[in-house]
Amino acid sequence: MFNGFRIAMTWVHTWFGLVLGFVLMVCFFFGALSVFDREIDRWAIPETRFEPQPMPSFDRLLLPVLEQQLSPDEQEYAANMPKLHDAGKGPMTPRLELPVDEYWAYTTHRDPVLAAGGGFRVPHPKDPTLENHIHGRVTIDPRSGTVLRDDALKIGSDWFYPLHYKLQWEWKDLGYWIVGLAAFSMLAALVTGVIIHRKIFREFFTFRPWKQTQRSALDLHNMTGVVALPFHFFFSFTGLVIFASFFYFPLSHTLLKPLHDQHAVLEAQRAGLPYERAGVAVPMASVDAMVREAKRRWAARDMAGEVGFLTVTHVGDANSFVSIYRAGSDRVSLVGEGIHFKASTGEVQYEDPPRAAVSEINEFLTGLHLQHFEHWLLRWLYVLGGLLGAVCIATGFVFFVEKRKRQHAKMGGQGSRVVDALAVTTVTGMVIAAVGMLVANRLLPIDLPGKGDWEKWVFWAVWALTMAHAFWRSAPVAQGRLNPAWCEQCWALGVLAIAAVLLNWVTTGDHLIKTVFTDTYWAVAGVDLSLLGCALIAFWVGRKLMRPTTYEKNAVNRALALHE
Amino acid sequence: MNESLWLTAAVLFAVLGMGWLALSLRTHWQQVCPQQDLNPREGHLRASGACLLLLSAVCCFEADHPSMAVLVWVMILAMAAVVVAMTLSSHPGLLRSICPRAFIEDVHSQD
Amino acid sequence: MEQAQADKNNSAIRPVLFCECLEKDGIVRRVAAALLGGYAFTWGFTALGTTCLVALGMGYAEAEVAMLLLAFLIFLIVFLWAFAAVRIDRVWKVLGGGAVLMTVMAWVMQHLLLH
Repeated sequence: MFNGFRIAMTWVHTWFGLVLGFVLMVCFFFGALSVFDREIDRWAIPETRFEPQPMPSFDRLLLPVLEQQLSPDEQEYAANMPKLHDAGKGPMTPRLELPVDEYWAYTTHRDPVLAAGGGFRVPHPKDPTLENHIHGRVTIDPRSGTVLRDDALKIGSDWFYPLHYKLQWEWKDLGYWIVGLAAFSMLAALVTGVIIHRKIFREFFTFRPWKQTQRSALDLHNMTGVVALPFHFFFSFTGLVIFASFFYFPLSHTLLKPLHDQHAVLEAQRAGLPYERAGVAVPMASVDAMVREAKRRWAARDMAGEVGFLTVTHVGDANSFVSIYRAGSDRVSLVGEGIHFKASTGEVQYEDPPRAAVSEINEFLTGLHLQHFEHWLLRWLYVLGGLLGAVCIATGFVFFVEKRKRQHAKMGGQGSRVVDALAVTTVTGMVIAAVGMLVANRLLPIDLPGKGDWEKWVFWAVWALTMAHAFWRSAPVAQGRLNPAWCEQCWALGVLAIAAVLLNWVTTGDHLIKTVFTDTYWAVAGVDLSLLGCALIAFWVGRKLMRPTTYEKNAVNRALALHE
Repeated sequence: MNESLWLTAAVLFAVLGMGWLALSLRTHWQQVCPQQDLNPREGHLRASGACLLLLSAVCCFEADHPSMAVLVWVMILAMAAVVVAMTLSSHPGLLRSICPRAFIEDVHSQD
Repeated sequence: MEQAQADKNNSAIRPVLFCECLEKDGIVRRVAAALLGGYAFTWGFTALGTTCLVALGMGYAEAEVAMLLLAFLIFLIVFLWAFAAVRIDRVWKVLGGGAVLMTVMAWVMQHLLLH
């Protein structure tokens, strides 16, 4: 009775899953790596391999650094200053003379280094209602207050992490839209998958590697999809929700802007936090004292905690205020419980009210995706969930190819050949690109100008190379056989992963015996061990792929028996 | 330390519970016990398996803030299911050893 | 009774119809209806829902969040329906019409709330 409906749902599942599956692979795999982004940063930037630090003293350490060493970003100045500046009111203020308007500092329980920055005011803006800031940022060693080199690329938090939500495709924010479409397709694929998969409970634990590839790939596809169904659903869903109000449904910036603005003004009046500068210069009171008061108030609410995020708005002005937010390391919701102080006197101006039910749900949903909490088991389980998602999509590709390749071979079609080559690119190729980037990070000389850019180039180049290799070797698929690129790239991956671990040892002296036993440093040890695990799996799979499968052996035996 | 004990217990209960649930399914039982003369008490296995999963949830709630415990539990269930599925496909015999005698009825002994 | 009979006939010819639709409209049109029509419909729904919640006394930020949480679920439902529906012109009527209607209503509602 549901035949037509089922056909329609199967069509959606197959084609949306296939086309956007390649993007989803990137989201799931690099999302899984992002769980340990800070740890990958430590691996890639050896001078930051020390214990995580709490927020340092603002008065004594941060403020002098920010006042003396923070400057507006050159590229942002070049790109945005001419757009924001009103040429009718005089010449453009030079970059280093822009007055500062805002400071911020942010840290988590996993950060040895502190990210800080600020916004510099454009003195003569075209549209005074806009923010009109040129931003700058620095990375600070919180133990000494030294500013660390800024061109060292944080491979984890500034490359793998953004890759999973915007594909590093900045132009017209297209990356966000493609990922959004992919996440939405994932939701659709999950729902349609459940509709298609009739024996969902009877085959809950079923994986039969001894059957033919098409069947065992489908087993694995169903199993990895079903067991982690809540993970897949909620991560795609919350990923969409996180960006919804900025990108996907920006109602507050468009259709409902008047209503939004009216409420924002009312809200600001209620909070009493000034929206604009007064234009009167006033020095700032002790921020450290405000931090102590904020901690006292959190403790009084029975939620003692550390500072996660601190901002100073309208720096040096009579209207300046300091906002101090609690680090959310012990719960799912993010930083919060903001307390705002008048900067000139240090008195509490406003305390964020308890969140309403809807906001609480939203905080929980976004928090469970962004995971600022301190829970190592859950972090590893998230990695598992992300990898299960990747396996689910990859086996979907394999199933698609296996189902069609013999038929395509008979009819001389090239469809399955192309899909298979793309699958190689997004499965082994993607991992090779990531590990290759780590190898490049250790091989390139530390004082090479623009080292981070070189690392990015290596990442793309290696990935492109794996793609070329996959297409070059794909001819056997058109004859209904296996692409040898799968096997060859497994070996390449294994070798690269071992090389990365060895190079880390040679260039920094941090070998596994040291990082695990004698001078324990789990961030680096964890990355090294994961690389070794990756190498082991790659070699094992590579060896398996060189030999005929059990099913093929049985088929040969049967044929021989018939022959005799 | 207390926390990690609770979480370890949660993981163990989840794996055992998922294992029993798997054994309550006919196809998987046949993978584990290919002999014809042993039959599972399916209802018992299913009910006890479900109870163990609930017990695992209780352990999670003992270890963490409730909002966090929910996430940990759901993810532990996913992991346990994968562990059981992989054991079934590579070493089905191992599952035999976690199945208590009480859940098996011997067809011959009843004759 | 008659309705049930009609449904039965309908479902019997459904697979054929669906395949025909694929050929006749082209799958591109089906996808366009599901994605663009669905998006526009969800946009209108979210806008109208937000203004309604504000009219009922909820704070704007909260109303927006509540509707954005619902938005993707609504989108998901209409998206799948656009593929499951037998006749694509009806899909366009419902999604397009709904989108325009709800967006206009949201706009009027906002106007009333502001003045």
